[in-house]
Amino acid sequence: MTFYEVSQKMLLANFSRYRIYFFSNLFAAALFYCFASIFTNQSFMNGKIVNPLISSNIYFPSILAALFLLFFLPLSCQVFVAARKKEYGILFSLGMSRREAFWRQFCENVLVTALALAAALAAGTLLSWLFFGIIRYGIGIVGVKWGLSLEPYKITAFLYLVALAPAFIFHAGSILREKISFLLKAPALSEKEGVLYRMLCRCCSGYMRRHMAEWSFLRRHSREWRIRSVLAFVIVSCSVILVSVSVTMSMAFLRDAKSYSPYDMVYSEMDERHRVLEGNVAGILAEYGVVVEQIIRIPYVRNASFNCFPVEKVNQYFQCAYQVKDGQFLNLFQYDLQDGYEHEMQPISEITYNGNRQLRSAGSDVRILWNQNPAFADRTLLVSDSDFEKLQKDAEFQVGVAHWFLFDQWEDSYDGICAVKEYMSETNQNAESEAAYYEVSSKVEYYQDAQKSGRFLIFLIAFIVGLMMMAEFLLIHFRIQAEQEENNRAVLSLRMIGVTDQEVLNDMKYKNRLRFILPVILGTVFSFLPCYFLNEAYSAGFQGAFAGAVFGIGAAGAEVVILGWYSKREFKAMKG
Amino acid sequence: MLALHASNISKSYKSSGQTIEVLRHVDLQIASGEMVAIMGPSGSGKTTLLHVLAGVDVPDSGTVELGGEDFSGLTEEEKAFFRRTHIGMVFQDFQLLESLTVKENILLPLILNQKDVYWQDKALKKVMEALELAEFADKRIAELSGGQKQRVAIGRALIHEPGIVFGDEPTGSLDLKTTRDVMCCMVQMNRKFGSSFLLVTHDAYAASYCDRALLLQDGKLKSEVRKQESNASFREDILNMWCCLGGEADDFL
Ligand SMILES: Nc1ncnc2c1ncn2[C@@H]1O[C@H](COP(=O)(O)OP(=O)(O)OP(=O)(O)O)[C@@H](O)[C@H]1O
Ligand SMILES: [Mg+2]
Repeated sequence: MTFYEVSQKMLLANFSRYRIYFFSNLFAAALFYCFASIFTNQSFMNGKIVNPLISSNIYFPSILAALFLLFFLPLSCQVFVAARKKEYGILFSLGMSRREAFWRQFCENVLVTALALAAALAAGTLLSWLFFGIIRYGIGIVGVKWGLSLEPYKITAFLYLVALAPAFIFHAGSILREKISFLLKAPALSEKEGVLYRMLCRCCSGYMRRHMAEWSFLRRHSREWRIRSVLAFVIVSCSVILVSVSVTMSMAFLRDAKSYSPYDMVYSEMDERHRVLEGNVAGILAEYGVVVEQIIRIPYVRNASFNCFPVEKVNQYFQCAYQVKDGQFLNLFQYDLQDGYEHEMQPISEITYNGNRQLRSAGSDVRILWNQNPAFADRTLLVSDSDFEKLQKDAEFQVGVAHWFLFDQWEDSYDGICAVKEYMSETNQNAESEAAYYEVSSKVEYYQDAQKSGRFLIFLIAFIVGLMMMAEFLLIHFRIQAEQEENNRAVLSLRMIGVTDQEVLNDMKYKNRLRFILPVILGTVFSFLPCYFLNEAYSAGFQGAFAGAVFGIGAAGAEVVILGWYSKREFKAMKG
Repeated sequence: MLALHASNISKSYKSSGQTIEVLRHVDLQIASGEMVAIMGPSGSGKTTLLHVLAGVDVPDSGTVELGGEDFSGLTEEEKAFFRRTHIGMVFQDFQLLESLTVKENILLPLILNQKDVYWQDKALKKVMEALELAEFADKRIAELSGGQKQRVAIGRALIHEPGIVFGDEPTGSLDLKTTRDVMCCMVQMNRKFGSSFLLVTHDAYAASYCDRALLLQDGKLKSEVRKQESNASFREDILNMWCCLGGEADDFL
């Protein structure tokens, strides 16, 4: 038998430890890869395909996944190396040299971590493929395409190395520097009392004595416990915030769709280029069972940067009372200031037409009067009727007539609107780029888009939060797995001194809940205020905070149940 | 084969703010091929002394010379090679590798010394027979009794025929007959290869196989008895030494 064979045997005998190490690394890397493949995907990050308000949601969890990788890998490396201290202590006492030990550890680590990385990249690729598949075929955002590119692989591998290499050098190095006598006693000697522990002991000594075994266990693992708790805290609070934001944001999408569409259909006739017979439109709509209740027509002029509407007509049809004198105009910003977006509202101060004539601003107002349409310019000015007539004669301006329709049932108008679109493109035969310009816009389409965006956002967040919660549960799983040996011994000795099985089980449940639930509760509590303020931007502070709290409580409940079940399983494994 | 010369060894532990002086300026000399027993009350620092002498632990002060070479002055790398060729060690708590079988545990020193299979088999057979372990060869450590584990630990310490063997209560878990077998095995090795032995023991019977017995108390080597003519009178001397400290003669039976 050679040393190589012995190493191999020990590797196989320690398989469960390697397995934990392997899967922790695999999971952390796959998680990050998944996010990397999304934020490096060009179609996803393209503002024309995916609303930046939605796609920007990916950065926050990506950073979190990167942090997870950077914290979790060294942690798992530490646990893995620490678990083998005693073994190395024995081998050193028999005369294994430190250099041999280092190379042995190095080979093992490289083997396990390289395999884990390869598996992680494969699993991450599959996961991101599923993600894009669902976005494309399930939600119907066809512009989003899954693609293989080298970049996310490179980023993931780089981060993986950055996280692992120093940790390995540090922890493997610590074994090499340690005294043999210390290594031989490694598991027992790592106990240290923290300030918190001593304070707890003093403040509630009765309580502490009753749960001595559990607390001493936690004290022994306080380092790992602390790092793990911080991670869990961050994971939970981020999940709560994301959930609350996604709920209010997708509700806001629907609300905005309605508030920005006071009318059910809009189109614009334009000079000679886009002619539409209103009677035909009404006829087509009627064919599809859409009853038109009201039609508003207002002439307007536009150039590249603004529209001008005659104020009298606007007052008449939209029930306003704007006063605009000759030689003046009013800036009308058609925004909902409560919608959560940033709005650019620099008023125009003066305009010049016919070469030398000037109009001055008489102020501005913020109010949504009508739906927007591609034919309109970004800004809207209201001018007096006499000025409007003069503007119409200026060759620099295009003259058009805007038509707003009100139906009795906008929800059923989709087919009718499609038919109107078809009719318009047939009658005008405009080139495709022009046609987009004179497109009909409608409430029902806007609403459907908002629904789609909302669903997409919720799916995206569910995907992210799902991954993060999986990270949380795996963290628990690996933690418990890594402690199994020590637990076995503790339980065995507890039972020998006459502690009943039920008491042991209760203790285990208590211990597991004590350390795993606390960060969840704290995460939920501490994310309440951020939730409130973030959602206040959509004027839904309380709803958002409520949704977050519900999620947090749900997560804590799920954890209580899972931990109870897990403790039972752990206990059974020990008895067997 | 190896002489040990330790001088002025001190060792203290710090725990929860207190410093415990375990060894205070201990001097110890073992001639090449000598068998020495160390006795002493529980907690007197016997294990600590043994660990320091074998280079498993580092003393606060003092030097250890093994075979005329300053062992404490060697680098870690040199210590490791020295240990694998010249030192055999039986730990009080055995320190066996749970992931390996009995056979593999015993073979480890030979494996580290890169001895080929022929030598391994030959040495293994001898040790297994002497320690009556043959039937457990392929068992896992967890399946053994305390005494069986102890014999595995002894086997591992002897298989490479080291120059000096440190045994921390090597017969503590053995019955009288097995104790005798194990001690005979050690004496045989001592006669045949001239290996030196330093054994910590509470057992006057086991100690009587040695050439000399020392008493460690309050961090110092207090008294010493030598084997003169017969085993019986040596045992008497050891018992007397023990009784002086307030022990009962019956404790050894
Ligand atoms: N790592 C340590 N940290 C602190 N104190 C220690 C440590 N190891 C041993 N001691 C203390 O040193 C003293 C000597 O311990 P040692 O194990 O050498 O005793 P011993 O003579 O072998 O006892 P026994 O016969 O019971 O095995 C004891 O009082 C013990 O409490
Ligand atoms: Mg001892």
